[in-house]
Amino acid sequence: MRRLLIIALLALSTVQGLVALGAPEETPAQMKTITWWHSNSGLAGKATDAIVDEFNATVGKEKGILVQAVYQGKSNDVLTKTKAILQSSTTKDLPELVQLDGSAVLDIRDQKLLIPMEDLAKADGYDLTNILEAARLSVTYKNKMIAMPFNSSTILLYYNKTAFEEAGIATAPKTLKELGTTAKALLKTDEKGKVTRYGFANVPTTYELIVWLGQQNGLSYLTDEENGHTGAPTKVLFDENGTMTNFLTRWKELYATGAVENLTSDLNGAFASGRVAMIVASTSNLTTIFSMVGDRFEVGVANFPMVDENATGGVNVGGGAIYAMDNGLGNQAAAWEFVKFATSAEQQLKWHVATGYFPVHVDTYSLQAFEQHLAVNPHYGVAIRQLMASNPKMQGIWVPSAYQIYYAFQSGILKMLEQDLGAEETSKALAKEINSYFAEFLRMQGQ
Amino acid sequence: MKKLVACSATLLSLVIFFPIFYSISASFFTYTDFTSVPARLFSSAPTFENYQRAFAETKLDRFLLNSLITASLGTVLRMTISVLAAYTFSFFTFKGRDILFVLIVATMLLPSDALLIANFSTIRSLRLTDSYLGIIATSLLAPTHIFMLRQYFKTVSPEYREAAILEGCSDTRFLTTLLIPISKAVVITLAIHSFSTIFNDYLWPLLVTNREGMRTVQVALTMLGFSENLDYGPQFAAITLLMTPILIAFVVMHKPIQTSVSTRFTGR
Repeated sequence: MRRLLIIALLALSTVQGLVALGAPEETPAQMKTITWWHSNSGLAGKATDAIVDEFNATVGKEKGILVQAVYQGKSNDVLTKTKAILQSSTTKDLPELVQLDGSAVLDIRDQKLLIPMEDLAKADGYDLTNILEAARLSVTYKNKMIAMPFNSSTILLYYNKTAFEEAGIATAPKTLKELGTTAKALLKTDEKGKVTRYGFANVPTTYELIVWLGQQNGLSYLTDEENGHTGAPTKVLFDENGTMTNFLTRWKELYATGAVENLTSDLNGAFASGRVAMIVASTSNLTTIFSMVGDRFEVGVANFPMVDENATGGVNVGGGAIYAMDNGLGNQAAAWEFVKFATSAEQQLKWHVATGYFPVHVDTYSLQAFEQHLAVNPHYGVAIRQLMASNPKMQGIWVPSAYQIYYAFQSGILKMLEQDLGAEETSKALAKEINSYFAEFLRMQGQ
Repeated sequence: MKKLVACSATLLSLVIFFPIFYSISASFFTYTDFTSVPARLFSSAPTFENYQRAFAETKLDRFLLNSLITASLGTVLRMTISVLAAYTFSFFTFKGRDILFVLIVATMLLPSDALLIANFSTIRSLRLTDSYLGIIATSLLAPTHIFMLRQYFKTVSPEYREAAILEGCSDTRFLTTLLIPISKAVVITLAIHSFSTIFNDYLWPLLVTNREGMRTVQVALTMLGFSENLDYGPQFAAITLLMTPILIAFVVMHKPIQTSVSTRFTGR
């Protein structure tokens, strides 16, 4: 019995020690601590730490601000955690800054504790035109910039340059029609007729359609409320304005070449292994794809192919942004200091070089170091010129049921290809399905 | 017939063995090995670099320690609670016993995801965030364990206990020197299961910790990869390291685990 008692006591004392271990770290009293939750891992994680360390050693030290960057899992986990705190009674555990991606906007934009980044910038007399217009509009809701774009990217065409040269193709395709011709020329089969190399691989879904539908006629919206940037969307527009039918018609022609593989995952891997000669992917994949391919073949990048000659809208800005939260500690100004630092011309250059996300500060583009970087890495120039030539009003969609919509697009288009359905009827079916998600959301919101 | 059984058993074990083999093998891959065509089974130039990077890029040793502490502590506490509860439910009669048991078992139907935010609020009000207790608190009551132990204890005739008590044996002594030893197989199996579930948990430990020093290894796994990167090497190195303790436990304990699923207490 005594032995049991001793064991119990020992166990208790360890437990106490364990709780004590969880006590927060001591920070100098006069310092303001800013917490930044992010989802940057791997390469981006290292670049994040570099920005924070430099801030703490320079501006932070001078102004008495200590930034703590906390990796909180994947982007979705960061949102789960933020939402958990927002829903509970006390909010002092909220970090001053949270980095979230586009899919989080719907959950976060109407939160009372969200401090619109535009307000913080204005309080400091900061000129928001320092931030690239397309990036700024990508986080603008009801005419207010609610967050600071940070890890921004666009979509790009990657091609196997070595395969292009073998097939005698000199230039990358500019339209879907050209994409079809090029893909067909790149198609390779073995003696049994089995395809050993596809020209192109893709099943368009939200990410691609935002661009392929949005770029038509200079600028087209997929949904009303300007793709959800002025309020909750009530219906899709792609059926009414004909952009979906036009796109699907072109896509069916492209698919009919037999050189397109319906691949929905690991496109990077398929491309790097040489099984597919062209893919479209985010600019943030640049560094990765280049190192994955290694010296197996030469990689080329080009503008994302246009649907047709009239689709002149270009591409939109995707990626994530930093949101400021009010946790009642009055650290807003200090948090803004860091955001300003992290998105300054110099830091954005470092961030871009390390990760491939493009700089959001306009002055980065005229830095000498940036020009030198582009001279060594011309591929980044393609992505940037493409973005500069795009209509900044072309924006991603902020919609409820984003996952369902993603799969609706994917499965709807697959069904059309496999069962040879018409473009018009597929467009109508997609509109009907997605409209029902919008209606459901509005009903739940009590509108 | 025997051959068929042997054949399918071999096939099945290969299916189970392959991922384990592949993650060990892939942890020695070079960067380009992952995308080579045809796919590789073995590294082109075996290297420990992935392991070095896994430790260099995260505080993997600290995370591993955190995971081992939470998983062991959680398992001990969870097993203690489960054994005592099961003992009560199977050997004592008191008012409301069955209702209480049904209530506990009914919580098996609640998906843990649905409780996530409520649990988080509770842990935060208790000021247990960033602590080992906070990480294990929600896994301490395991209805499945209580249920399984009770079912097993039920196969032990209550007369054993009555006889023991008559001989002047206390409940504690009966439990520790008789009941647990004869239920060794179930207890060990459930303990290993406990250990691996707490060890493998990802979202909950992430939610209740903020300080890097309190993070568990599963969080480190996602830290090592970049969502748009195919640099899997360090992740596989970490996965191999994580698998090892559970694999060792399983190999050492495979006998009692086997008996626990194939036999019941018969009094022999």
